[in-house]
Amino acid sequence: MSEPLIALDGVRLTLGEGDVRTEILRGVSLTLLRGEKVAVLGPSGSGKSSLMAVVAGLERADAGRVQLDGQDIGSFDEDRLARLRGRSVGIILQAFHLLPTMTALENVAVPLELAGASDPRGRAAFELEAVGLSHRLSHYPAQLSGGEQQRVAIARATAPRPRLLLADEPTGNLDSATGAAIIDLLFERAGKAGAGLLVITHDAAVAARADRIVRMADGQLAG
Amino acid sequence: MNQTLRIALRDLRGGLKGLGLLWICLAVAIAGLASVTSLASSVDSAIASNGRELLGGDLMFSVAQREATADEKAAIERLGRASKSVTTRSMLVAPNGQTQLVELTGVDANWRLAGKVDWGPRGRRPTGSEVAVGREVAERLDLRLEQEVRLGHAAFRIVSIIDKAPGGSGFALAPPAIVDEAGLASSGLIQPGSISTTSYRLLLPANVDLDETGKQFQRQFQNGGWRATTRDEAGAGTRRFIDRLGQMLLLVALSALAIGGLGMSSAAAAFAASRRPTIAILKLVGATRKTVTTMLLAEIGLISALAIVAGLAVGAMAPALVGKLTESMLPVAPDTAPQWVALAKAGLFGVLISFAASWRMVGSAAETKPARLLRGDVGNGDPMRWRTFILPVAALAIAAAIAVAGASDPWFAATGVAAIAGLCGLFALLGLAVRRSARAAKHLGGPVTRLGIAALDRPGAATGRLAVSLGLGLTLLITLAGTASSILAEIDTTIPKKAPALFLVDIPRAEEQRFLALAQAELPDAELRLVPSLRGPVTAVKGVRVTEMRDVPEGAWILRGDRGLTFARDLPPANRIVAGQWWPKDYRGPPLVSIDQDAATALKLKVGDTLTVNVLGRPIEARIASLREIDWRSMGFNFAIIFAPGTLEAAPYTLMATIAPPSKTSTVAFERKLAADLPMVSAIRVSDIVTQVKTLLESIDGAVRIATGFAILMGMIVLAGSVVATRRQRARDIVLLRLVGATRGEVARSQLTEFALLSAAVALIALAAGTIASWLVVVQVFEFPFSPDWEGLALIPVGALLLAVFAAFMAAIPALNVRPAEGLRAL
Repeated sequence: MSEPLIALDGVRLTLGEGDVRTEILRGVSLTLLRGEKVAVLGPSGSGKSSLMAVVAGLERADAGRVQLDGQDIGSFDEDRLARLRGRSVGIILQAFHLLPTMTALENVAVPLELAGASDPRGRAAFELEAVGLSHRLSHYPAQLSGGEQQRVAIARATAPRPRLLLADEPTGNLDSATGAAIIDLLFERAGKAGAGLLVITHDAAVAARADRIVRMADGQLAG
Repeated sequence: MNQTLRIALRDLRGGLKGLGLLWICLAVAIAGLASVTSLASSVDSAIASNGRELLGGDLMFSVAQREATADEKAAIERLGRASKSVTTRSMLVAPNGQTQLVELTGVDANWRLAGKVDWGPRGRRPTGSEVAVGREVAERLDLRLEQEVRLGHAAFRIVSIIDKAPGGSGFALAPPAIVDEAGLASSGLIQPGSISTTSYRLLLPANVDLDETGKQFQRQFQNGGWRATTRDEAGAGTRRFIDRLGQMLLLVALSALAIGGLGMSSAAAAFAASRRPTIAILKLVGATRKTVTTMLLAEIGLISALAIVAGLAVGAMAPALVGKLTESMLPVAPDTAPQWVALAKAGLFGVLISFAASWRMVGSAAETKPARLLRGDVGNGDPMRWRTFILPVAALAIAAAIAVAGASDPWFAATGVAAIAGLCGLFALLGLAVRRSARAAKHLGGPVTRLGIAALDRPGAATGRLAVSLGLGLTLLITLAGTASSILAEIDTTIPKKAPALFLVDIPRAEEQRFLALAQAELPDAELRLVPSLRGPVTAVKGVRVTEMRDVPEGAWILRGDRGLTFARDLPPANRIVAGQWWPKDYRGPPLVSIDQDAATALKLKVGDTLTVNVLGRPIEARIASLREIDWRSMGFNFAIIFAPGTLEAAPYTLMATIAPPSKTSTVAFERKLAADLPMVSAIRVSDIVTQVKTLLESIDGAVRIATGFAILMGMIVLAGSVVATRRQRARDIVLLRLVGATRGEVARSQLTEFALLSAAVALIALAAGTIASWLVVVQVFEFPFSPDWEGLALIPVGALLLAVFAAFMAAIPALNVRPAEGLRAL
């Protein structure tokens, strides 16, 4: 059996202060193997996005253990987590979150530049070509459709050749046809890169594309 | 190019995002600071580099009331080529009988060895019975070329009208008149005891040590009462004046920079807030805190650098632009070349203030957590760490240390910097109090008023920053206005009431009775006072020769140049003994003097110490019998040094007189009669002195007011900028109010309530702080009564309040104009 890419053990997460303090994750344990594609399905507020934030090192678990690529990231400081993300984790969000002042090419090149990769612009152009946007290299996000922006986000996530891709409701802001095309592209790019994929969704059709589905409810994995 | 810098430049493509205000505040503040420092430096450097032209040679020897003896003259001529001039004061009588006091100089054929004299259009050098007169005399007495005027006993034809005395500044009690040696002799004005100064100017080879040569000559003729002035000391008075004025303006400019710094800090906060989503995304894809911090600093640094360069460019041009206006007041035109040291110093202040204003904001933004992207609240800040205050405070401390260490009077600069810091603290506390009050009073009034009050305490409200930025400039202006109006009121009203109408100098002892008879005939009801008058320099203090003193104390003005001397049996009016005792009326013993207590303090002199004065080539060592407090405002004969009877009577001296006729009595007829019968007597009108002093004070007041107005402008920019920075929040409030039925007028009223409440609180505190500060300056420093123009003073905060409300309201108009539907979509 291959070594897990993600190993969560009894993870708990509480957010907010005082009266509004809420326990979001309540003892979540989950593993994801290298190259495995897992969908997390669940209603709004069930803790799916927070689970992803903990895996990406964006939120620090209050209790439990989070292992990413064999490393316990619980003791990592902010900068070490950022470097880990830049090297090993590609993240795709529902609202695309591209940098509005940069072209598509520059958006994709940014993580490569930050990681000190050689020829970041060449590699970014290659990634954009792979997602079918070779004709949109010098366009700014505002000049792109929602689907195109999400393609740029996928290219940005896959450009540093990460071992793990995290996608949080990647089709949430798109119409169904564009959404389907994006999901095709996401699974294809993850497959080609041999990266593990954790996709957060409440769409059963999207979840059905995964190797495995886990369900979340009320901060816990169900079933 | 470095990857981070590349990302920073890409990020700036989207616009300045608040950094526009930073650019304006920094550029305007640095322009002001660089202009002030450049101007002062350009005048100083022009005087320093034109010392030879100003002095009319490399080294000048001067002596009072006599010429050089044969030995002295031979010694001077052995040193190099010399020119001689004799300066005295005299009445110039116009063809129509009008008179005017002039500073008359008789010059030899060699005069001036250095520096060109501009004899004016169609003018030429006077010889024999010809005279060159200053433009001011010509204009006042309506004189033209070729007209005949009288000086002393002789008539002179005007052959030149000059703008100012060669090498002199525009500030002189008497305008110049120049004749040649023969002309001066024919006037009969130079008699034993008459007040005059003879100067010998020398051109010397470049390798000569001027200081040493001067001292050597003084040692050789140590009883001669000679003063030596090198070309490096030329224009020393003007340099001192410019230095003082420059220091005052520097403090005002630093206040403007402090105000600008607050605007910059608002701008940096707005910028940092706008960059949070970008920072979160960058962190999401692998950027570290260091990368993000470097990126933000690079962006702010780039805009700051452009602002500093723009400000310095204005400062570099200031000497050429403003210098032209001040040329007539200065002995030389300011140096128009860029003043690199002054500019570098202003630039350094800019860098430090920009850093201090933005570091905390950058630090806070760099802490943005990327997880906030998932929750959609990246716009909110994270708690500020106290460590982020260390570097900004250090930068401000360095700026303050540079301002103090670089000043010629560090104590004055330190007091000024401390006052600025104190005022910042005071208004920051006021901001806090306004916020607290707003919190307590937010239930008062209707919804519109409540919203206006609540806005003062909303999260992210710039109430504290605005209170400081408006209050600092306003307090400065009120302090200045209170001080200037008090001093000018004293000069305008009190002094003319107390002071005599005329000072009369060079009355020959032999003509005393004739003078008294003339005064009795022309001004029978006038109060007349006569005192003996001599001149001479202080040559030694407690046995130490002045020329050998290493450090001459700042307040030791009695050591500079020749001093007016007198002797008296009785303590003069407006004088009070504060130490020692006045001598008996019939004193006949070793020489005793009584001196001004301020001069004594500066020289650390006490009763019993000795002071040596040279009178007509004879050193007189006298023991200090008493120290006096002199009421200089009495405008009578206020001699810093008064001898006891029995010492100076044997020297040739003249008399001085004051005449105080009943008010509104004209002295013109007396002056004309005096000029005709006793032409060697010079009359100085007190009204002329008052006018001269007022002109000087008004010039200083004007310069400082312009600088202070600039500080207020800076406050307005900060206010408008803060409103613009909170426009999004305001638009949101306005849209919601409009949605629930508020009219635009009601919404406008809520905005007005907010600005008016803050401005009124600031104006009140500024009025109180400014009034207290001006009272301190007027009463404690100038020792004048505090009588400011209260109406004018009260109008300043009212005007500032209206201006502030207007500026803030104008800046808020775009938010008022947002249509509810449009606004809702943007929420």
